[in-house]
Amino acid sequence: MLFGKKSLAASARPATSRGRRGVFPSPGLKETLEHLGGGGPVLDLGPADDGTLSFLGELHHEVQVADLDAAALARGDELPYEQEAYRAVLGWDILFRVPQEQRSALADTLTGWLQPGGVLFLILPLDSQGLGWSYRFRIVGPSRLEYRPGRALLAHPVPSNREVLSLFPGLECNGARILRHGAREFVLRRPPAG
Amino acid sequence: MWEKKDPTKPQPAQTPATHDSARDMRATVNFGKSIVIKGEVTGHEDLTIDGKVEGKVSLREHNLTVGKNGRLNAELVAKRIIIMGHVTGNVCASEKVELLEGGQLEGDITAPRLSIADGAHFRGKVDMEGGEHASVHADAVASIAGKVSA
Repeated sequence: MLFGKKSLAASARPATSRGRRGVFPSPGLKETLEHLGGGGPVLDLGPADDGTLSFLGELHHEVQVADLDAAALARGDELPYEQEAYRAVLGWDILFRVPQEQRSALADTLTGWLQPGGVLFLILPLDSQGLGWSYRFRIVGPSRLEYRPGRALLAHPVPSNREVLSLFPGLECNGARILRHGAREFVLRRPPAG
Repeated sequence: MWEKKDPTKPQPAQTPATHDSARDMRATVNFGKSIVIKGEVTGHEDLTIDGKVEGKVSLREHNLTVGKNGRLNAELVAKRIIIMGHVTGNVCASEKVELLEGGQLEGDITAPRLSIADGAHFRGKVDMEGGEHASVHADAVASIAGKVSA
């Protein structure tokens, strides 16, 4: 079977973007924001987005940003954040940007930053069609996310749901959902102290 | 239908084209690539920095642009701060902070509005409520005698 130029180009592109922006509902985001209530320090990891930071800032959240690119993650750049300091950690498209052998260490680091009872919100592509591409996710409402294609980044095989959950043995899974446009979300909660 | 110009009617004086550009040139001070400053920079004009600064930059009610070649290890206070180069230090704007493509900021942002372009890098805290305090802070800093005055 012969493929035309158009179909080849389409297959090389991530299913999530197809070169366009999109907005989709995110129950996990809603849950995370409800957990945060009107306050609580938030750690935002991944490509920093002004819309997301403005949204969180207007909700009176103290937001700490680590604008992580694939190179920084692969280098294992030191991230000098306080242990058990954050009520929520948001990980935008980061977990598959590190080699598989480093994911466990990254997951431990993410877990360590959460306060007891804190929530980790992760966004990942659904499958490997997104490899080599990046997305910038933006909070555009209390339960709505916008994505737009970003620059190509280094990427590694996308972990399955089971692999993701196995990386965080100390966290309880509140939800793992497939979203529109080929994205997945995870809401993981650290058990409260005591 | 169309109004004809009456040659006898006095016409408003034409402003020379050079006037505005000359005024604009006066309104913005540029620190070029070869400029290295250690200490505090204060001023009452817009400022573009393409050189190196270590210390503090404080502009009362004016805009600060860090050019592509700018390398600042400094605290920045201004009305509007635009970053295209590299900045290490806290940034406080009473209006807006803009990180443009290629801009890098390692430090905390205090501003009511924030813009981060693709290809910019930021690591630090964001305080979007404190921006209104920035002008007060700027006034306070500007009132301190600077070692370097733009």
